[in-house]
Amino acid sequence: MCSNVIMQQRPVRPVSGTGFDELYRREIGSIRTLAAGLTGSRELGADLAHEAMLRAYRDWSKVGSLERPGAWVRRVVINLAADVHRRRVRELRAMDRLATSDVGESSDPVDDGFWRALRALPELQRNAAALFYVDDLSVDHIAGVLGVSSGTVKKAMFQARKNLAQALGADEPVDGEATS
Amino acid sequence: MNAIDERGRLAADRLRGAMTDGFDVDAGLAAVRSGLDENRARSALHAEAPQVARPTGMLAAAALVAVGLAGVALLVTRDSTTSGVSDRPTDMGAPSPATTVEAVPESTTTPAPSTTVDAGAATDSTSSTEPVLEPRTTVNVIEVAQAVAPVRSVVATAGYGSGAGELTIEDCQECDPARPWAPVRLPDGRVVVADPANGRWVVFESVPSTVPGEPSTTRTTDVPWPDRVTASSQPVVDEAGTVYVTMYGPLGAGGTTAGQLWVFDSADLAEPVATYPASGVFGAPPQLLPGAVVLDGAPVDGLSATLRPRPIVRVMLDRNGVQLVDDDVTTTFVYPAGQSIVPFGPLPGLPDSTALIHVFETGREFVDRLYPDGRVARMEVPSAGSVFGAAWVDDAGFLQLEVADDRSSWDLVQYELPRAFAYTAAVPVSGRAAAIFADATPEPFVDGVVGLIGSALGAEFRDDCVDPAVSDPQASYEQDGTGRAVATFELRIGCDDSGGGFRWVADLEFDGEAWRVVAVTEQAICVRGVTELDGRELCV
Repeated sequence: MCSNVIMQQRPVRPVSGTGFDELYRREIGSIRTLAAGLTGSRELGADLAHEAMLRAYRDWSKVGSLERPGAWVRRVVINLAADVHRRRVRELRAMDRLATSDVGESSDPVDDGFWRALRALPELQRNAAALFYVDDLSVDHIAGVLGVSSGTVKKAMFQARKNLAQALGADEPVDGEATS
Repeated sequence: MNAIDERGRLAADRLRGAMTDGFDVDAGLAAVRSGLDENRARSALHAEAPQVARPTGMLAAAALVAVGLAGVALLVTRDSTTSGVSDRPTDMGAPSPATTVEAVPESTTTPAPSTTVDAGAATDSTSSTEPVLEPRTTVNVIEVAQAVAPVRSVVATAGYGSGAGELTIEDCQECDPARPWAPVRLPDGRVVVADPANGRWVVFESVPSTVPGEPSTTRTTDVPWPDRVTASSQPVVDEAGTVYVTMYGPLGAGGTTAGQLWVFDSADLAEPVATYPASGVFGAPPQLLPGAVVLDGAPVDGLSATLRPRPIVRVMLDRNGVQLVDDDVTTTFVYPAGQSIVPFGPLPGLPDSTALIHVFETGREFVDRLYPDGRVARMEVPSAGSVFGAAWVDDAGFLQLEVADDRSSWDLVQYELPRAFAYTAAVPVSGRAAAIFADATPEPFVDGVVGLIGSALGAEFRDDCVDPAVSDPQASYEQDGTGRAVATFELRIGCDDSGGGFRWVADLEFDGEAWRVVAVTEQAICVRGVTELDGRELCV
C-alpha cells in the first residue's frame, strides 16, 4: 500500500518550454473534475489535481516524453484519490450510509447521488467509470490509464453500470452494452 | 446511450462546471510553478532590495575582468582523506578533515587580487595597482562555471529496513514511494533523518571512544511519530536548534486528515512544543526567515526563527535563472536550456552571501554555488537515486543520504561546499603541493617532473575520486634570452567521471644550476573552457 505516497512534497524541478503549460491548460479542468468526483470534495479534488500537476511538472523531463502525459496525470490522481479513500474509508462509509436514503440531485454537484453511488463502487469499477463519464475516454484509453487490459475495462464498466443502476434505481443496461 | 450513461455524463458536466467556473487557469499554473520558489514567502516579507545603479556602458570585457579580479589569495592545505566506514567512525559535528582552509579572507565585494606568490613564502601579496571593477550583475552560468571535484566523506552508515536505526524506502510499484527526507544536522552535531516509511525520526549521534586513539562510533535513536502521522515536508532547523516540520495525518478536528506545522526542541523530538494548523491536503512546508517563520505565505504568530542574515534566492522561470539578492547587490544567473534548476532545500541562501542550487541535466546532478560577484562553483554529485537528495546545508557542508545499489545500506555523506576560485588566483602553496613543485629539479626536466607530480597527485586524490586520474600533464621551457631557462608547468588533476578538479600552474626558472619555483597559481577547471583576456585566464 502506498501509505505515504501523497505525504511527501519533493522539490519541484523546473521545466523549460511550453509543453507543460499546454498540458495544464488542456487537462486541468478534467483533472479537477475527476479528482473531485473520486474524493467527494471539491476542495480535496482541487488539492489532488494541484498535487498531480506538481508531480508532472517536477518530472516533466520524463512525463513530457510520454505519448499521453495526460494519462500519467490521471493515473496519479487516481492513485492519490485511492489513498485518500483508504484513509477516509470510515468517514466515507458513514457519509454514504447517511446518503443512501437520498440518491437524488444535490445542490452541490460533487454530492450528487450519482457521484455518491460511483464512490461506493469497487476500486476498478469506480476508476473506470469516473474516467468514462468525466473524460469520455475510450475503453483502450481507460485501459492505458489504469494499466489493465481492454477486456478488464469492459467488464468493469459493465459491472459499474449495473451497480450504479441498482444504487440509483434506474434501468439496468442491457448485457453487452459497452462503452463507446 | 442508456439512462445510467446519460445520468453519469450529466453529473460529470455539472461537476466540471463547478470545478472550472471561476477557476483561474493562469493562477493555477502559476501556483504549480511557484512551487519552485521556496523563498517566495521570504521575498514577500522582505522589502524589495533597492537596485544599484550600475554603469550601463560597461563593456563586457571589463566585467569579465572584474570577475577575474574578485577575490583574494587563498591559503589552502589539501590533505585528502576519507573517513573509513567499516567501524562506523563519525565526525558529524565538524567539517570534513579532507580539506582545511587555514585562512580564507574571501571577499567578493572588495577585490584584492594577488597575482604572483613566492612558493616558498606562506604569505600572499597584493597589488594596489589592480583596477577595482564592478562585479558582474548578469552571468550565463555555462560561461563562468568552474568544475570543482567533490570532497566527500561518509560520516555514518545505516542499515536498510525497518529495524532499529534503519531507514527504508516504501515498497510501492505504482506510486511515488515514501523515502527519507534529507538529513539535517542539529547545532549540537547530531544528525536527524525523518523517515516517513518507518514513521519516525532516526537520530545519529557520534559517540567518542573511551579508548584513546580509537575512532568514535555512531549511536542511533529512533523516535516514533504518532500512529498514521508522518512528516510531509523537509524538516528544517534554525540555529538555536528548533526543528520545524509539517506533519500530516489524522490531526484535524474529529481525527480528520490534516496538515500541521510541528515545532520541536531538538533536545526532545518525541513531543512537539507547539503545533499550528497548516492549510492544504498535505500541509504547507514552513519557510524560515531571520526572526520569523512563514506558513502559507504569512508569518506564524509567536514563532521566531533564529538565523543569521542570508541572501534571497529567487527562481526566474521566464529566464531559467536565479536571482541572488544580497543587501544592495542583485546578481542574475542564467542557465542554458536543458539544465533544470531547483533551490537547495528550505534555506538555499548561506550566511556568507552565497547560495546553493541543484542543477539537473540529462541524468546528471550538480550542486552550483553562486557568488554575488558572478562566480559559480559547480560540483557534480551522485544522484541520491530514489532518495530525496541533499536539502540541508550548514557551515560544514551539506549532507546527503546515498543508498547502496543493492539497497543493503545507506551512507550518510557529507560534502564540502564547492568553492570558486578567482579565475587566476595565485596561491602560496604549502604542504604536498609545495613539496612537489619545490622539488621540481630533476633532469630531464619534463619527464622527471611529470612522473614526480603524476605519481604524487595520483595517490593524493585516490581517496576522493571514483576513478582518479592525472591528466594533461604538460611542460615546456625555453630560453628567455637572458641566459636563463623559464618553464611554465601546468598540471590538471581531477576525476575522469566528473571533469572537475584543479589546475596548478607553476612558473619555474633555471638559473644554470637548478630549477627554482617562482610562483604557483591554483585554478579551478572551467566547465566549458578557458580564454585569456588582458593577460588573465577566464572561464568562457
